[in-house]
Amino acid sequence: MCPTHFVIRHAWAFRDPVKKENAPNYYEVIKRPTNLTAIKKKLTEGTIQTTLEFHREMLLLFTNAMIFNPHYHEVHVMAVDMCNYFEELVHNLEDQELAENPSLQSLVATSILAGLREEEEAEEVGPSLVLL
Amino acid sequence: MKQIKKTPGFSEKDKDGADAMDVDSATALKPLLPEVKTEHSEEEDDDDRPLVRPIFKVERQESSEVLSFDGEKAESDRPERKPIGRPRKDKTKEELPKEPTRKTARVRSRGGSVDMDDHEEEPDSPGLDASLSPSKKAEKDKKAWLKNVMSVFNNVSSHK
Repeated sequence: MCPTHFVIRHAWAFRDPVKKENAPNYYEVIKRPTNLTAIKKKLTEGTIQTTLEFHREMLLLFTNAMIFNPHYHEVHVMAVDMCNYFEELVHNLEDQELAENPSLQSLVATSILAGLREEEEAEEVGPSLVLL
Repeated sequence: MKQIKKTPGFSEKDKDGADAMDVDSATALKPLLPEVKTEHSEEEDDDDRPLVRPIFKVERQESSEVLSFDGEKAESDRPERKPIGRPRKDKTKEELPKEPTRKTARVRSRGGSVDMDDHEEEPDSPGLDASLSPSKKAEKDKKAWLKNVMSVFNNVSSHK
């Protein structure tokens, strides 16, 4: 049964790791799988220590779903919807943190640049995505 | 023959015609007569000395009430006299610096009412941040951050 905080219409698809019997080629397509339970564990254990890390981890979750599932798929639509809602909330949180501590601005910029470099390197290697 | 000494104010024969008292009989009678001081004698009026009225006070221990002999009220029962001249400033009340108490500081920081029974330090009060050690402050910040992030996480995970 689902834990109470995941008993909702959208989040059920992102709660647990994807099982191989449900999507046999999932782990061939998605190289960095994640899920809501894993993210929560990382938060409580202290593996995720900044809002930016949390932001990136959540984005990874939604982009994985959007990459693997076609745009007409229900999970893809859920991922887009949740991602938009999450972006709204997390931007408010980041703005609040930046207002309290302006020195974080440089950290955010550095991290965004690092993210862009990672994306560029991934494009050079070539897409690992195989659309079904 | 006995010698009669004339005393001032006495003539040999009094105004009434009585014989003047001789010296020996006068000295013999003197210790027997009690000396009575009147409150207001004519001799004192003649002098320039100020009039002093003796006041005899008897204190009763059991009632702690001061009674005066002459029927006046005792000092404790009298109304307070106003001091003559310019009144002195009370430095202890007016000029001492006012330090804000914990309760007033809390009211200022929160802008709310005071809970009189609350004697514990509140962890979220901003006035206490300066007194915290850096490690405790970092831990407190971390908890506040985690609370915010978890609130976002729960909102997203319960999004419909």
